[in-house]
Amino acid sequence: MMKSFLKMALLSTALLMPAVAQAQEVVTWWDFLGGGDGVRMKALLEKFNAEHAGKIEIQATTLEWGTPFYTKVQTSAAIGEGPDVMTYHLSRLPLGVSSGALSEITTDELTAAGLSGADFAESNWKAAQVDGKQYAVPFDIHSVVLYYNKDKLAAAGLIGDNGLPTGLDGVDNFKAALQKLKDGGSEYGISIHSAAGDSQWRIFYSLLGQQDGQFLDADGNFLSGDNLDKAVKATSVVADWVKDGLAPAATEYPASIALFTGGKAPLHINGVWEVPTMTDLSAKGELGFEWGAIALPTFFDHPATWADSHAFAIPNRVGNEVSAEKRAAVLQVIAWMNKNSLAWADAGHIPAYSPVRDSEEFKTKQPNATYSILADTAVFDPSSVLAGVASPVYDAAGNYLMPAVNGEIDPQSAMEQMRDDLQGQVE
Amino acid sequence: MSAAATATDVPLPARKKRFNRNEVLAALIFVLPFVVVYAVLFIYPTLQMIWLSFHKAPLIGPGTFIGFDNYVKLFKDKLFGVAFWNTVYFVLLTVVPATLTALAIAVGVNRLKGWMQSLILACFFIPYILPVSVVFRVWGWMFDSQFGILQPLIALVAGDNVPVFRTLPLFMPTVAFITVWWTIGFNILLFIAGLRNISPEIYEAAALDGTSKWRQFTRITWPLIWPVTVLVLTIQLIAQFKIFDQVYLFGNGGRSDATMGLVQLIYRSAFQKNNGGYGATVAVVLFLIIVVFSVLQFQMLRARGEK
Amino acid sequence: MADIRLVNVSKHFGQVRVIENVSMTIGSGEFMVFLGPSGCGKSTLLRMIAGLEDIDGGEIHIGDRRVDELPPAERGVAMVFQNYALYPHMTVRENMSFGLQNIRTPKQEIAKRVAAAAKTLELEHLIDRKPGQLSGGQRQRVAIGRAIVRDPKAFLFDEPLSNLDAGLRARTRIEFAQLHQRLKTTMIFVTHDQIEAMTLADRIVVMNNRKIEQIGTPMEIYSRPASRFVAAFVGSPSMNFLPVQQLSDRDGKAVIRLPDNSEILTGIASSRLPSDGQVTFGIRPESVKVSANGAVSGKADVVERLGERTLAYVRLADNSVVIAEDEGQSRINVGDQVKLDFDGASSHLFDSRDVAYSAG
Ligand SMILES: Nc1ncnc2c1ncn2[C@@H]1O[C@H](COP(=O)(O)OP(=O)(O)OP(=O)(O)O)[C@@H](O)[C@H]1O
Ligand SMILES: [Mg+2]
Repeated sequence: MMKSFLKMALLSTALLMPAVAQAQEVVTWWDFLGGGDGVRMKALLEKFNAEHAGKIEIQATTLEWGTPFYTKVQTSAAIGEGPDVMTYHLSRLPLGVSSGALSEITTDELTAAGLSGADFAESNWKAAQVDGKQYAVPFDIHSVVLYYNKDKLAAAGLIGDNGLPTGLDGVDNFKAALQKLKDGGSEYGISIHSAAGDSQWRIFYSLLGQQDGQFLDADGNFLSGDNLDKAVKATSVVADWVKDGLAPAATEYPASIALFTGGKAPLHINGVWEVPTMTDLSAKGELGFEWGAIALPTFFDHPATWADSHAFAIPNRVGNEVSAEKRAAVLQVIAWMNKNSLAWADAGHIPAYSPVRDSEEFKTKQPNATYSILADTAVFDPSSVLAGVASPVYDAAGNYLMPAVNGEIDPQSAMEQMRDDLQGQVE
Repeated sequence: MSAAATATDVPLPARKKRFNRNEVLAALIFVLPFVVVYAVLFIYPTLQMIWLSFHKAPLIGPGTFIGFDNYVKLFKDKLFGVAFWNTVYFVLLTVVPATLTALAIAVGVNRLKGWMQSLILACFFIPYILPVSVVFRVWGWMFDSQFGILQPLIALVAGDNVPVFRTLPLFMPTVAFITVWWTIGFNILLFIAGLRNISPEIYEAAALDGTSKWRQFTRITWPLIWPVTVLVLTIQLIAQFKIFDQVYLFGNGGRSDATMGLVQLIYRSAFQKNNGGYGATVAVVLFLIIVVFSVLQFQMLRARGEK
Repeated sequence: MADIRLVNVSKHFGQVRVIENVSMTIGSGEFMVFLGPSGCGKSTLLRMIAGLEDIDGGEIHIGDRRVDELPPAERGVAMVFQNYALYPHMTVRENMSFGLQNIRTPKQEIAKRVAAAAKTLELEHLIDRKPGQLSGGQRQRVAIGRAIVRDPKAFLFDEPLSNLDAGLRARTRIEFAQLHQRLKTTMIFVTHDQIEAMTLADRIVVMNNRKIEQIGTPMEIYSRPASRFVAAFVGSPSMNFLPVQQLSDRDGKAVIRLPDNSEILTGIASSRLPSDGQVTFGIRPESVKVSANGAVSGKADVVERLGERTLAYVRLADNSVVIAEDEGQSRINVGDQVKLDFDGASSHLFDSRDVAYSAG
């Protein structure tokens, strides 16, 4: 009885053996991409799997964005149970590296996969490094843009000869334009997601960058010296809009979009990830006006816009290291994704991979091409374990910046408190 | 020793002893799974947590022993004070109101008959089965400062739309209200079970005794339902001390430091800032607070009920 | 003290009719027992008087007031429930005081009345206990105490003895009789135990199937039942019923012939009987004696020796069974052939509508 059972087991194992030997590399993939991003990534993954049938198969899982994702990554990395590859915010990289969750990617590995730093914008490539070591490969650059209602802007005389918005540069100019739009019968001049720190942070950090302000200096000090004044100025710009009723106070994310799409506010600052929303609404004829998106106007000295990157990173797998073959497959996945990132641009993002960004197809892709200048004017979040998506800096933005914008705290004391709070959290 | 051995040689006691041993064995077998699960899933992690609180350690992995430093830091941490008072405030806002409201509704529902009773009961119970994310969406939408269907009403009172979740003094009361709305179904159920346990004859006796409705409630229903009330209060107290989900969701992106509760501080320290040792310290303190409060409350209430 | 009058009272629960057109008068100070099988509507009727059930038709008067629209407390009656329905969280004293407090009786007065009731019912040493710490009999006394202190116009008892063991039951029964003698208050007592009914009642209301079968003193009910139901329900062992072969007349009195052809002269006037001659013969076991010169013979199937008397279940020739009585020291055994002597003068006849006819 026992013997025959053993024989059976051996036999079936023997039968399975060739299958195992010939098996394709299975790459476990985690991402946090929902909504329009998720749809487009799913299409890319299917395409990859189809093209690599029999060689590499990606098995993807989508997890909750933000702290839950990063917590899971960190805990699973510590016990070697993480995925083979995952999406990662570059802004979050310092904390990931400091907690030991990420595995370094060597130049040799990159070269073997046909990737090199020269294929990416310099600031972008640098943002994927900690202490000079590469921990991620950028996939896109995503930022905030100014969505506009062309009909309303035209009526207010704010559309130039090239068909794009004009006369919006400069703090006072912009405010005057908002007033004009409001006087023209709009409920608000501009709609912003004013109820949360993260959205406000993106605008604030852009305006700080336009003044060459440093949120965190090289010595590890937050808002040191005249950076504080610049921060106060940046905060005051938006706070003034809210105070004068040109922008809605304490408005939630969906409502801020609805104000724009519903025609109540002719301008809207939001991430490029909402491009699909507008495209879809417009295609269905539900928008009721012609829309467009441009890079944020230059309020201060020069163009600059907050940006972050979705990137690919490989988690550490303590005690459960993967084979060299698997790692090679993972890098192949990363390289393929970048080379095929034109499709990803449909989600509003700007491909990080320069050959794609410089391609003719992308240059004619609207509205991305209009704001693709972002790739060069991007300012990335400070490189600190306290910064990045769902970080203490984001929390501080909710605690101080958001109430300042809504007139609950005056900008000066808000920025001082924010500085002191963050400084206090430096270990 | 040898005397005992000879004693067991006598047939009758020996048989008796064997029977006892079997019994003990059976008892062990039945109790063991629970003991093991309890030890592995509760005792061990609790001890680990306490041990971790004496370390400077990340969320995962080893740390260095630092004695009571985390505790010293905790009592100097302004945020801990805020989180503590927010938690207590939330407990005050929810526990007693939720209990009283549940009792009032249960008394009302208990008077209905047949399908009407089931229907109304279901209405009150449905929120309880909703996941917190749905509760968050529903109320977030109803209170939305731009498009919320409650805003016209609010504007009537306040003169203008009010972003309730971004208005600090309104935040906790509103979240408390929503929590009561969300969780009251279960309390109502407990109270109804309690009310159904009161014999209708007692009410008939009371009717013959000429008891007014109010006296009937205060002198008969209330004392008889008191044990259930104590239970509900205690369950509520423990649950609300652990407040996290609703406050986190509604406060996310806002002034989360000002609205933070103790569990959120644990989450933030351990998961967001990768400071496992400090997170464990807050957790230990919360654990102690809950133990002390619930034991105190239970004893106090029971004593009052006994009188 | 007051009389209670029911006029054409009816009640139904949904489609189920429980009480139909019941009328009766309970005299002031009378001890009235409602007797009937389980489910016949006794409790319902009592609860209607108490005001715990609405009535669907008719009127209820207590004293000179019509009360059927009044809430229970204003009817001036006190009720003792089958399960006592004491307030479990109150002490004996509080249980008894509660109703008085409700009507704002002065504290001293309450104390006085509770003390008096406690004394009467021998509850003084239990006065600060809660119901959970009392025996069944003690609880029952507390329930009575709670009724007494209110000094009601009438007491309503719904099977107050049914939860007690046999011994306590007998003793408490006597206490009830004494209580009534002392208080002389109108009392209605519901039971399905005929011994309780017979021993306690001034008058008994026998109920069956939503209706009153008969109202009368215990002896009337026993010796002159109004219907076959009453005849069968009252008395233990139950009355013998035998089919009548032929009905004839002798000197104005009815003579019946049993299936075994034996003839029995009854004390019932022939003229009162229905003309169709369809009757059933009924006779209580104590009127059927085992006797050497009895006219009817049969075989003893079962013999029950009760001590002071012996009951014999005798199978007649036509296979019908008659319960007969013999003396305590009876020598008959199962299987013996015995002769029975029927005392026709105390027999009953029942017509096809179960109306009863008795001698005299
Ligand atoms: N609330 C009710 N709804 C419907 N039917 C009822 C209700 N209460 C009583 N009944 C019915 O009315 C009839 C009389 O009930 P009642 O309680 O008066 O009987 P009872 O004579 O007191 O019987 P018992 O000796 O068993 O106590 C029964 O058939 C019972 O099923
Ligand atoms: Mg009854």
